[in-house]
Amino acid sequence: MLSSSALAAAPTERYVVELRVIEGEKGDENAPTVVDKRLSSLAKDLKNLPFKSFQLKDAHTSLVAEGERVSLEIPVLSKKGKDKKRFLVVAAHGRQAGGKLRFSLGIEALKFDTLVAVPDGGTIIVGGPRGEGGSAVLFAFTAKVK
Amino acid sequence: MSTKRAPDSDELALLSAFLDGELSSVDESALLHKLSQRPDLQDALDALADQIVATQRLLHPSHTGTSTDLDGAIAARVMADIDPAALPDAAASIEHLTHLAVDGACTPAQAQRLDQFLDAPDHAATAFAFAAAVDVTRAAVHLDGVPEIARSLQTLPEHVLAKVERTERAWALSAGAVDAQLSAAEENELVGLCGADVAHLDELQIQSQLTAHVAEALRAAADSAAFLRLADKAGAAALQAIAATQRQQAPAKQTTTPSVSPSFFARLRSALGHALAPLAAVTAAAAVFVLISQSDPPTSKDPDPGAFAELQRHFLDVVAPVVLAENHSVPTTELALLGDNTAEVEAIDATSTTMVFSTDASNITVIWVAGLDDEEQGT
Repeated sequence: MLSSSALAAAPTERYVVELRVIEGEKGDENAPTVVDKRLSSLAKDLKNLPFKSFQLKDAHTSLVAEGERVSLEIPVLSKKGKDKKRFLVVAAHGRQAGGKLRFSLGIEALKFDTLVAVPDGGTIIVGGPRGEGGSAVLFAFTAKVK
Repeated sequence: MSTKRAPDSDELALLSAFLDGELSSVDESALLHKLSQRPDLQDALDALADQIVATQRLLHPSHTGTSTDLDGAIAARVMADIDPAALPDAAASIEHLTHLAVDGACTPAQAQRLDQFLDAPDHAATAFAFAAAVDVTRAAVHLDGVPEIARSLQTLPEHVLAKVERTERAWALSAGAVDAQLSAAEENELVGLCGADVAHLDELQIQSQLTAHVAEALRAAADSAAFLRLADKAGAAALQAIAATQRQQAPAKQTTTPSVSPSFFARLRSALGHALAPLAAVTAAAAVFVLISQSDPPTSKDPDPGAFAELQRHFLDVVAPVVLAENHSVPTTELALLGDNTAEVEAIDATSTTMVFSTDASNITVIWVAGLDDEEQGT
């Protein structure tokens, strides 16, 4: 966790947000899919993706209040093969009328931003390719009310 | 002993409640006895049931549909291009023509055929479903804030909107006529709208109440959580599929003010990401999401697969651990996963191709960003 800043006065709800950084590799199509045992609860879902192995590489847990945001450092490899520091900015936007928790997830350097609403304790995944070796990086984001 | 008289408004309401399964057993028995004595009541019940069935079918299209439904839709599309005047009198024909009307793409012959459909009382439900869809879309995209979409929706053929507005006005006036509350000017207006003698207002009132019950069913269905959930998910999927296709074709940086495109659904992409119109649900029902990577694994046709594999190994064995490890500890606690993680993607802003789909097991929404490994912008 790098920083947090208050965007609104008098925040009400506080949320525990967890970010798991997962590396996926393509590998041999005929090989069985191998999932890091620390990701066993995600195994069935990860097997929907066309990768043959999934390894948990990093994780963050943070507390963010409604109206606040946190920046979580994430590893992203540029096409030139050089590691780059990126930050996934998570901002809490309270609840939808239906009760789901609203968050914006953004990687400013890549001009990527999304506004999502997840159930309390729900998980959403943002992913993309890594380099040119057929592997991918997945960010599994989970949020629940503290 | 049978009696011949037109059903009154209370009886029509009773019929509607009967079809909705809302009558008590006592009331239902009484109504069934009446129906056995009153052919006019039976006719009214049949007409109401037919209209509601047609409406429900329009508002809840199945994802797979039947082969007959699919054949009808295909035939409608083909016939609309070749010979609109010969379009069969079917829901698929009306639905396709209304799609064209929303996109402002109706030819004069197609518009004329649509007018003919709207004039037929049997197709009132179809026209009302179209109007309800437009209303829902207007509310979803907040027209005041999105002028491009406002302009596109306001270019709907005027005759279509005018017909719907005329029908609604006729409803209101006929209800007032039965209660003898119309002014002379309003009576003349009603005659002009319905082309009927004011003396036959009882029949007009029956027709207007039948269509009012259909409209009520429409509104109730369109407001249901199931309908909104289906349309929302399908609409978001359609928007993302369209955006991904367009970004692949034009890799220019996306700005905060996307350009207007001729497609109705492409214009919707600049909105919140929601599309609550059943039109989007019908379109998106055929969308298929596949996970793509910009980097495909090497094949035997590659000129030097050995060198590529070496690079892969180097990356994974040497570079990746340095990049990924940093100073963060890897937790040992397992993720507590919900059984159903259905999320809503309200908006996405990206300069590269994005795809959105859900996993089968736990409905985890996956947002795939093709340019996640792009160079930092401006460097």
